[in-house]
Amino acid sequence: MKNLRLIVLPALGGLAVTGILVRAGQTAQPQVKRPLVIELGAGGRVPLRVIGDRYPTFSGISMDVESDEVVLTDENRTSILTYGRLFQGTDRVIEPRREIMGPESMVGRTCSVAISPEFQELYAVNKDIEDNMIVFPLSATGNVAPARELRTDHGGWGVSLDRKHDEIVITTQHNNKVAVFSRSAKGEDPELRYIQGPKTGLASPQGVHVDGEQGEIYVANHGHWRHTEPGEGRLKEPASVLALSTGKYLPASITVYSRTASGDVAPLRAIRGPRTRLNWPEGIYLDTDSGQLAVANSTDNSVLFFDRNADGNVPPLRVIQGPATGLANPVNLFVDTMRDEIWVTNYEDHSATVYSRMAEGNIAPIRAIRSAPKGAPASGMGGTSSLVYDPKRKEILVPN
Amino acid sequence: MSRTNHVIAVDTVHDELVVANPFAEALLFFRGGADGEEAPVRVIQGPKTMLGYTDNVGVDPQHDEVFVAQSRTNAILVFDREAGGDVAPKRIIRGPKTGLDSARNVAVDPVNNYLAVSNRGARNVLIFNRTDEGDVAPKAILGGPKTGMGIYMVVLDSKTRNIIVPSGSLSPQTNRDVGFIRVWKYGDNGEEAPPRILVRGIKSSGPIIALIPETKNVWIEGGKRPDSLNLYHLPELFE
Repeated sequence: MKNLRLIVLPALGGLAVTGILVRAGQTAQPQVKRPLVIELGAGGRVPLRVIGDRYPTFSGISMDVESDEVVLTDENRTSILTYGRLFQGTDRVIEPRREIMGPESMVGRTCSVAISPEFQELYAVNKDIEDNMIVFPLSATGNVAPARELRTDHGGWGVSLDRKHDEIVITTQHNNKVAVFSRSAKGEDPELRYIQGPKTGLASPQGVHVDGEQGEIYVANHGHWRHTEPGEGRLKEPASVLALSTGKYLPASITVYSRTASGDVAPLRAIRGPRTRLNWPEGIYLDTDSGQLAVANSTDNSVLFFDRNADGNVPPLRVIQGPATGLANPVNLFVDTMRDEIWVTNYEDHSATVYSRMAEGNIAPIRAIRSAPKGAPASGMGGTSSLVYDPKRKEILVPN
Repeated sequence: MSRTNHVIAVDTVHDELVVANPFAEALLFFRGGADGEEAPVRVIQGPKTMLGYTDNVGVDPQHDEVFVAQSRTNAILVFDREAGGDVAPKRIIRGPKTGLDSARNVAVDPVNNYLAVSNRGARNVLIFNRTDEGDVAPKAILGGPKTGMGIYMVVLDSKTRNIIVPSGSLSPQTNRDVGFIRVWKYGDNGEEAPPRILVRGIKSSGPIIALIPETKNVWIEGGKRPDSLNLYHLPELFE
């Protein structure tokens, strides 16, 4: 080694050069310090253990009542599944008739879906990764591109179609907004109008239902509120000024607006308060025959029903809840007035359960679509953004 | 807690969990074994806090402080860990010298007085002194636009003095998510400083990790479609 000498140079070029080995009489050649590379997966290290859920977890639901098909969105595997409406009551897994899935499809964490029988289309809202609504023909299957994509604000959640006025309504939980688009909107098309601002009472809005006949929009709110300026969204960035915080906790609520409301407007009515039993309400659907609003009350595993004209701190007219119901973190629902049924998706049970439209109490479902064997645990993970280890309990904590 | 919970911090000294609620602009402190619909033991929330759409938190149990990164305002806010209610931050790092650019997450090392910030906009990691305040330049910058890093989190290991950065991107060649873990050492600096260790082959564009020191294993997100976690033996990350 006596012919070698070490020369230390500052960083050069694209990679750091920490030293150059030079043999006496030779031209110096940089020796790039390369990282220790560890390969995982094929040809590399394999995992010791895996935590995951290989089955679909249902979130959004809608129905083509004329073709007897129900469409369910799967946030776990990121797919859109179509099943027949009628099937034998069984605890076995039911295979879908069609499945839209794959990178071409752009199907992400689709939390809500709506259907247009007239235009034979489905509208699925991807929440806070893709930030869009994708539209497919009802007959679509496989890894197919959507017919069109509409860009939405960050954190879209609910979607509802106004068939009478050919409009589509989308909620965004991150900026407390209800946006109304033309049904055929695509790309960066702006809203026709929106409801947003401090007077609206919108607070982490989730599910939405628009009644084009009566001219009202119903919104389920978790109650987590911060000030948002009217218009805030993808086309108008919020202020970046370090200012006084505005956040606060409001009671969970159902807020009601005129279909044509625009801007920072107060709700016509608001169902909120301890008697309502609202606790993380998510999907909402108006049963136009009974005049009742059905609400998927996710945290206490119940479905609540309110009169559509209810206002204030009122108890629900009836409740589906109890161990016989099979409700497990209910997310969305659909009322089939033609067959007197109500459908509910259960995020933590790989199931969509069906009840009589006027069911009440601790009642077993008439039948259920299962995407996994009964009792198969759902991981509950959805959009994991960090992990942390608790050494005291030797547990992994997974925020979603 | 909100429907969007991006980060949980574990305070092993006081046996508490800390969670940020971006929608209600609050920091929630729970007991360590909290379960179900359990109320927090205290909440930092209110106008004086200046919390704004804050979704992350880091805890320093030795100096009784909590740190948050604010992506919209490009600020690091530091609060008294034992505070509750409407309290002002005790320190703020913010200003053009800081290099904060869509600051995404924080990690604090109370032993070596390091503060690391994952900087989503600039695709780098900024290293500050734990007690820095005001418009102060970082003492080190790692990574940068050339790396293509999409950075979500950063981990500091006070024992090994490792700066561990999971990151990822969408491969234009395969249109598939690709993830990496890069490991630097304290003292490394420069946008072009190569990492000491590069872990690759992760099927996620935004991988997240949890280190298990007892076994020298690492939980790594295995992908988001569906969500999965894979446990690998990676003793090199604990050296």
